[in-house]
Amino acid sequence: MGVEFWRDRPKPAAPQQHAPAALRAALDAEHELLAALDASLPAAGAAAPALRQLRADHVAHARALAAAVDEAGGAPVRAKASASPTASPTPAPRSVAELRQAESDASRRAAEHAGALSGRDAALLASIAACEASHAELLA
Amino acid sequence: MNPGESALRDAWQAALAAEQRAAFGYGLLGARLHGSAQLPLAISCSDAHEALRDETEQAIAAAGLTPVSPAADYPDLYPVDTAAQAAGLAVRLEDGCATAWRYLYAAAAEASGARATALRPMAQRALTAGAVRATQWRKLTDPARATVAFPGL
Repeated sequence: MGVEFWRDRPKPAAPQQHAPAALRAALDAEHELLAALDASLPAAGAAAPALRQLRADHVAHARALAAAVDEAGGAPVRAKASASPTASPTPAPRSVAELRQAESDASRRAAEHAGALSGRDAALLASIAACEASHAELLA
Repeated sequence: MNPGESALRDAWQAALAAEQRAAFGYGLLGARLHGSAQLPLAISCSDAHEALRDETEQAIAAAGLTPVSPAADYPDLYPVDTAAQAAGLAVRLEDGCATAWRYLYAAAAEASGARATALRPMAQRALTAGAVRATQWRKLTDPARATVAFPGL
């Protein structure tokens, strides 16, 4: 123990040095939704205007989350590429019903991410969760 | 007192005040929608706000606080003379409630303690429900802009 006592211990990482996992997961989720919308828009027909509204909101979400990750000291995330291993490079087009379910699921997960965070980041995710529930309503 | 507790109390009371205003406002606008296809939506929204107002008032009282009283009137809600004004007012009421609940969420996310922890899911539910109702109205009044990216901001 004596030796251990003298040894320089690595300082614990300050919370600000790494963006919280919930924030990064939320950003990945936005990129996945954007990819799903982009894949679905060409064949969306009458639903295309609604999907474009959703897309604009998700772009705003991704921008705000990327800024929050940057502010928390994470690696720069301005590049569009998703770091998520589950994100397919070219997702298949989805039906409106599938997109509605995806928005509903995303709303629930965003609320969970909000609950895992504190301060401004938590309030940001709470608002995003509400928006994604309204997306599901728009597609109803 | 836990850090942020005072701000949390104020935000909780502000959420109650927003629900009192919304319940009053739906009473006004519902009267302009008789015979309209929008009346069922107005009734379901009115019911939701009255329930949320009562639930919030009871929770504040159960916490040993004195709930704020509703105003006798809300002059800024008028005029509501047409169906279009009624639907526009509904959107404003929902946006006002979303702002209040998001503010409560933010105050709870800044505070510590059991009350802050308990209020977050409540505020999230109310914020989400308000955003959904606002979109239901905007689908009727302004379908090209039926959603907002950050409800409550």
